[in-house]
Amino acid sequence: MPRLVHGQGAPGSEPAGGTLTSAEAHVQGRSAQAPRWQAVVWNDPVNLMSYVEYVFRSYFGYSRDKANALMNQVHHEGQAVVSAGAREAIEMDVRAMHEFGLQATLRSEDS
Amino acid sequence: MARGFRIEQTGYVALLTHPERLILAQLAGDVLEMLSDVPEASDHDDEFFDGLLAGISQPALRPTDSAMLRLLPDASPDDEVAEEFRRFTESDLRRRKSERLRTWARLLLDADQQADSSEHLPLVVIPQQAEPMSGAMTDMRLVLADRLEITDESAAEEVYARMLEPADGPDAQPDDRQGLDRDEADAVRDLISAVFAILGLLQESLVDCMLQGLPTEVTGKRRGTG
Repeated sequence: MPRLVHGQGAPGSEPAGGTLTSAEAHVQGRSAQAPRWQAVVWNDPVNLMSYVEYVFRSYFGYSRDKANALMNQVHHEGQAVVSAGAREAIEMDVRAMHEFGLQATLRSEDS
Repeated sequence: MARGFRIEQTGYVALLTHPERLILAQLAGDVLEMLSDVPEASDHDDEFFDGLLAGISQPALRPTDSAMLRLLPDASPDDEVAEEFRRFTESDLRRRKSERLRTWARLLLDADQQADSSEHLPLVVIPQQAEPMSGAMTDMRLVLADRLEITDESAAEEVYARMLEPADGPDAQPDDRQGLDRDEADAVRDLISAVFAILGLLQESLVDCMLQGLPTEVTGKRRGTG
């Protein structure tokens, strides 16, 4: 997902913050209408708990506590929602989870 | 028996004997072969259509082998969503998984071929390679677990306990089995179990090193860089 370009204007041009705020408002306005999607990671008997925690910290950048809580949820409840957002972003997350070797699916929050 | 990874000056270092390396490399080759076996999507013999369709994203068939389904899982219980996802991601996933298995096998076979078979030689994984190598080990363990019919965590733990903590003394496991076939089947199962356990030991110790290498503060998403 490309980052919003900011801070590249000539000195004295409009501060990047102002541009970002309106861009963010625009994105939020759009995502309010589109259905949100979730990436779900499922428990399996093979993947090590430490590896699952590593994936959540390394790929999603989650804190140790959050990654650990999600890993425990997967382990004890059989599944956990690990991310939510626009469909394209969630598809990318599920693809990454599959590459790590985790069992993951996507679903619409409406379903 | 192999020694797990530790953080050293040269990188993350494990110790393996030559036979251990060979059998792990052989298994990596087996999984590579499975990944290269792409089922034919086309169910007609019309060369014209085959030519026309070449290069167009064709539907990727859902694997029929249960181990392959662990490597290339369904992305949704909804068949339509799963099929579309497969069509757009599967060939890339096969390629990435194959690439890292090849690297893993090369790393294993890189050691001194003249070494004594009981001698433990260092296997060095540099931190930048640790993630793909851990992924390759995951894929190998997924395939072995399927072959061992490990369907729950206690079954997996039983294999680790049996293989990594052998019973004391030569009389601990009385050999009252009968018939050559049974012995052979057991021997194969024991071998697969041993490889599964060694890979578990190697991956767990590697992941411990990798966790220590992660920044402690929250870093935010790195989507799209995988």
